Amino acid sequence: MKLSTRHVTAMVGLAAMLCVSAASAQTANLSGVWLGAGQQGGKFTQWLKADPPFTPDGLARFNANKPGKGPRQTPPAFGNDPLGDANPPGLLRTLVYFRPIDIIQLPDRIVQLFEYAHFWRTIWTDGRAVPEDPGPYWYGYSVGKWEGDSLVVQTVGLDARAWMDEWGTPFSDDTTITERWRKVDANTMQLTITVNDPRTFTKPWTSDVRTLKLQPKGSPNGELLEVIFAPIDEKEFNDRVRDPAGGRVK
Amino acid sequence: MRLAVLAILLAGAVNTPVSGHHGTAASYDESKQVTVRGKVTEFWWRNPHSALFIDAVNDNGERVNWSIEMGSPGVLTRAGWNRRMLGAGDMVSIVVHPSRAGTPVGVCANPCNVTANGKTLSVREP
Repeated sequence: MKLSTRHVTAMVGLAAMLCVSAASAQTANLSGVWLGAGQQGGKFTQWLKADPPFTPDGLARFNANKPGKGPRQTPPAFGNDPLGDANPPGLLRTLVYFRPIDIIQLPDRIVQLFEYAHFWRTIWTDGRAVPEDPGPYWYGYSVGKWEGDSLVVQTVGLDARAWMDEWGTPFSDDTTITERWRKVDANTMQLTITVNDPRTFTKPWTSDVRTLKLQPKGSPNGELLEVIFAPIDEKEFNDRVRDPAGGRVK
Repeated sequence: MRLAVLAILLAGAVNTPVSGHHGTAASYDESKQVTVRGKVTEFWWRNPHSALFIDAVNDNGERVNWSIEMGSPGVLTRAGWNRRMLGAGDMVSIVVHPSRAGTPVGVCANPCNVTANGKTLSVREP
């Protein structure tokens, strides 16, 4: 059978469409605004109901942190939460907090915009290697790849002056985080992190599953708002509300 | 008009957790509620939390300026509030959980209801 130019063009087009479709099946589209649940955690960290396997040094640093929230909450006037002076929450604390995350998926990277403190980070999906000893960065350096429908992200270079959560769980400069992001249906995504930090924990541990829900456009959380902790505002709030609330009056 | 602070101490009252960020519950006694009535001197629409300052008079007839922690502008915006809904000179009534330290500071109860010039505004923290 002799094929006309039109037939050949149509077949090439069909083949191209099938290729695109096959490539798409290797990934999921994570784009959209997502919101995680607010309350979770156990005695120590919001990431895990069980007790994390602290090293003695890790436990000492945990005890030195004085959070304003969680099982060990203390009045912020007498705490040492880095956020109390408007420092960035950092990546891990942001991921466990219940404020919207806008995910923008591009061919070579995924950008996550965080409402909480108005920061962002890039997850590179262009095949690059995880760099050796980058940073430190408050939001780390992240490289992702697809394993089936899961986005698996290696994050390194995290600045250990941040806390892992609102409850004062520490980590060290040597931490490597493996994040797994997976959509379980069109409106639901699950996130776990595996923490590998030999200075703080005796062995790697994986968090409980954190569930995020897609926020429709036009819904209250469907668009990110500006939530900037400006030092000028934070200081005045400390002076006139937070510190006197704790009984610390200048 | 006489400004007044009406303290209603509700020991064992229904305890609704306050989930605003960095350490609200630790500073305030959520088992108690105090109704603060008076004139607004300032309203901050800013992070980390909005705040309302109210001139009131205590039981001894002394003027006291209360500082009241409110939701963040994001939480309030999502509930339909805006920065012009309250302002200096407004006569307000608000139920707060008072400071554990006994200072004239409170956090607006959750849901937060503010009656201003006879109209009630409400917001529930997530």
